[in-house]
Amino acid sequence: MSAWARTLDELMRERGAALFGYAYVLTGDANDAEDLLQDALVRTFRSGRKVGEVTSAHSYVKRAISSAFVDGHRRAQARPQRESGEAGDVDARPASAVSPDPAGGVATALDLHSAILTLPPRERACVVLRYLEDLPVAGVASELGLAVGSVKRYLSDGVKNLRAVCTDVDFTEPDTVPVHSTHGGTR
Amino acid sequence: MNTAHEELAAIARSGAQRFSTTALASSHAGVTRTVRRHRVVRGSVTAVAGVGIVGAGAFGVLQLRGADAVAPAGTPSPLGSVSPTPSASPVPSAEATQGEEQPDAGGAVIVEPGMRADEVIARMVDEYGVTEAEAREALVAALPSQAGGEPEGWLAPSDQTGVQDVATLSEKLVGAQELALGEAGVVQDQWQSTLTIASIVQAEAAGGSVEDMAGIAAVIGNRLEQDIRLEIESPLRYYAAINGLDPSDDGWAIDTPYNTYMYTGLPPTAIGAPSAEAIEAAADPADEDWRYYVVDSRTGEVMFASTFEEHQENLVAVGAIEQGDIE
Repeated sequence: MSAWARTLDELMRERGAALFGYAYVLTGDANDAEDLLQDALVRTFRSGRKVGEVTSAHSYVKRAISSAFVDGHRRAQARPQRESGEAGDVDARPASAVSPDPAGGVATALDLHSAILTLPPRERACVVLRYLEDLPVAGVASELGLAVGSVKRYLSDGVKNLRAVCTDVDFTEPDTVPVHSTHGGTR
Repeated sequence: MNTAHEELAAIARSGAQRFSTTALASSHAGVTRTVRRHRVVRGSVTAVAGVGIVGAGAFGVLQLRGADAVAPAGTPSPLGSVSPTPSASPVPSAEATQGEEQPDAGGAVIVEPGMRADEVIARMVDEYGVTEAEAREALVAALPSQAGGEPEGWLAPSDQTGVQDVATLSEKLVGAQELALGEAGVVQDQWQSTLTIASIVQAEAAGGSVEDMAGIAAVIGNRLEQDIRLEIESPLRYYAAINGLDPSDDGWAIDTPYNTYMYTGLPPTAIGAPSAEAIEAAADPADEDWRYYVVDSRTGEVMFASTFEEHQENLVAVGAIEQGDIE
């Protein structure tokens, strides 16, 4: 078995769930997350570039998940497979409504997830990279191949919407570099 | 109030818990296959082509060329006498056995088709308590002169249980291979080259039918005759395994006569133990002008082609490339 195939096996065994979870944050749907992860794995390993050990492969695949997600939506807009308005797992059953969870934290997470899934793909990817991955704005920009100014605008718009819905979530910037005023967007 | 990071991490965790329910969690073979396909196409479409052998005339020359580059594997002498009645009896040689400890009930060594000599030696070490050097010495002592002192390919796949010592075992293994060569009607000065081809056929057609083996042998023969590089992967894998290398993507750059993408002709030695069927196929290849083959990894079916265009169609049929990759 060649080196890349061994790395792939090990990666899926040790990090498969974590990568899937990451894709799930972006898609909000298990089937879509599976497709996305699959797509990202192929993108990462097909190039022939050295992916190195599991840890470096892990970050390559994560990067590929973000970019495949944004690209995928570009394609999906041309060939939608789901009616607009028809939603995936999370939207289909807003858990906070259907099964009110006494553990408030869980309900919040689902609410936040539902809210994130209403964001356009690029805003969504920017928010996840900035707040989950704690990337600086410039890092988000290079991951997604966007201009820094665009990322700032996506983050600003996205966070403004999220704040309005999820009032109990703290959207303070994860590091000290301010990217936008906390009061309203930059527009 | 939770931070956005905490909330998002909680979502990721809850998503991760669902991973085990996905098809991807139980198998990512589809990903592996797709990646391999991409890589094959990226490298070279002919990477999946096969090679073939034989052609009595060209044979000694090719074999000698391999031997020049490497060292002395089994170089058949083109000038050697051609005996129409190949000897089926092994040449006994007992020197190597002296001083070895002999387990009471004898050992059990099973040689499987395609097994390398170093793997057989490892089993001999386990079973008989001899050193590697002693085991190799016993094998070499049992070899006929045609082998040039290299046991690779000369150890017949067989189940040797209850054999008293390594010398007897060696004679049985080599003797059975000589018998197979004799039964296939191979003349003595082609024994080594036939075994080399047969070992490649064995590696390429593992589990395949006799017809597949004869077809692959025909491809090897035709490519040798036309001075086309074999471009078969198994000799390179053999070399990598022997030398503890990793036959990854860089493997194609390994400069060795076992790299049939780089050098024309047969590799300098066999690459494993060919079965009697593989020897039969190498001795009597299919009468076809095939120059390419590809094995369908899903069904094991081997598809042959005479022209590159046909080969490409076969590649599409087995899913190795897409129709769009052609042209």
